[in-house]
Amino acid sequence: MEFAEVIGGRRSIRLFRPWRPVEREKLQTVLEAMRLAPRLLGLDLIRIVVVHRERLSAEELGALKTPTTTSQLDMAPVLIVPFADLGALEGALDGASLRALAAAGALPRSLGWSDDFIETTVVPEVYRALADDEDRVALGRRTEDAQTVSRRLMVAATTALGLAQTHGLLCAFDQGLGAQLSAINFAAAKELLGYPDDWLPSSPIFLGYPAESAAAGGQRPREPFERDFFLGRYGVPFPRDLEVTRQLADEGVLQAPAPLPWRRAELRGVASMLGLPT
Amino acid sequence: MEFARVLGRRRDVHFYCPWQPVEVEKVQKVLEAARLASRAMNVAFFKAIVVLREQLSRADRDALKTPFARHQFDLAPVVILWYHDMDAGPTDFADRRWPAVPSGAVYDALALPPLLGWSDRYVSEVVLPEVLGPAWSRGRRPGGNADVGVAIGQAVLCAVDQGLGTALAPFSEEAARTLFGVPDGWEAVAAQFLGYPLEDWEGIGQRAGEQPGPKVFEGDARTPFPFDEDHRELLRAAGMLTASDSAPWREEELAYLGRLIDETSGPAPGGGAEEEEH
Repeated sequence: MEFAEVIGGRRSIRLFRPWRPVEREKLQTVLEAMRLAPRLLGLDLIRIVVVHRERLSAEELGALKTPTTTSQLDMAPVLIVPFADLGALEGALDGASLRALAAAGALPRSLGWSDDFIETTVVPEVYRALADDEDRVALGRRTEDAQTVSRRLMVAATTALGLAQTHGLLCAFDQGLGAQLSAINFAAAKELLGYPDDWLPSSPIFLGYPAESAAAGGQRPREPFERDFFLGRYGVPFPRDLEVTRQLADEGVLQAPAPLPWRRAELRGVASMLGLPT
Repeated sequence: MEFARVLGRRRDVHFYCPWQPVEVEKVQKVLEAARLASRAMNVAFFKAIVVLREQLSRADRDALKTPFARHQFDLAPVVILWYHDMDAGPTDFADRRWPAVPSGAVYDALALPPLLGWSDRYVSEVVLPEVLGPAWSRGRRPGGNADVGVAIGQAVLCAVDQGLGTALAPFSEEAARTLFGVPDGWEAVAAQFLGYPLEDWEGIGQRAGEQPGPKVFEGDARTPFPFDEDHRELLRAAGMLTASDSAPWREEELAYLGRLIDETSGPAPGGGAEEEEH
């Protein structure tokens, strides 16, 4: 599928066909896409655990639910849970991973990425500085963990998680699947999956075939463009050219806004089919 | 471009054509892509300032540099400075018309379907007191936000789809705050460089420098996911997976490109050349 159609057609799919499994090859394609996400600070942070709904008991599924993630867990056949392995920083302190990137030409020596620069500048000024950082935040945003971590490392970790999630989400739609990011109860997930204490979890990708139409009621509302983007300085809005938005509509990036006129009827129909309240 | 090829061609570009500007409509498309990204509670946790290299003096550019982002500031015609807006949640909470909750907009659009339990009462009696209230009553939460990474991920892939080179790297938060009037509630995430690439994406191995060991697991955090090599062949044929290692001519390419750097911004690392003409 064309890239423009993929980002235009992505929706947060909350209604899945519980009877239709996700093919193994499509799952692998989504995972490969997540592994291709950009790395930040040269750190190999991302870890992923795949969870199959059919292998969980009703009690385990129930324990993963939250006020905003309910029946999706009963419908989506696969959960892809991403983590940032904060221990990756410790492993990078010897500079070996950066030297490997430089040796492979991914960090160009002609831009100064010599072994000496890595050893005398990058490791102490970036990696060691992160390890010794006094500007810290709580690791347990998702749990009650009182452990703290460098704020800047946390920024890199959460951003890396988002980059991997984007690759996975978009790839799912390219594969004809539906997907959504939604939080789960991470205390229950830790017990279930047995991940290490220094793995920072983020919202799983719920994966499956959508029970709602691809349009899923239309493209979701957004705040004014000028509120998010600035040119040259904060307070100076980036000028939005409406001719460009027309092009984007022609390309399929900008689509009919929600709610489509038949959305309510669609939801009633899907509710009947899935045995959910209308 | 087909989505699979966008994924396959993405590399961290270090060398940009300093003489070829980026069309403003391409910059807008990159921002529009970010704006369409998945987001929790429909809140725009991301914000961005687009900076044109030509607006910056040599001293300004040097002030923004970090060990991971040096010559890119001298070469790339456009830099998008991405931020985590720590006030976005509480602000949206206060601004939205119904029912004083950001996801009200997507509820009205029937994206949060009643058949999953979403109702005025559920929002006021469960979501507000149990989810949003506790999340935002603690004030600003530094340490990034995965949704910002999700948005940046769409911006990065859109740049590749537009035929641009792009890369993410940290920038000096303090210098940017002074130069661009950044609000206190914004936390620096990454600089995204945009420009026409001088280097060939085929030169850089897709997995160059990758650390060994399993990163993807199935069922729990100890059991490696068994990737199917035959399926990987199909993904190679589709252009999503490309050569793992850098091309044999990469070192020579870097040597040639290095001459340009010496001409443009002084010898690596650190620069020191005179201000170039535009």
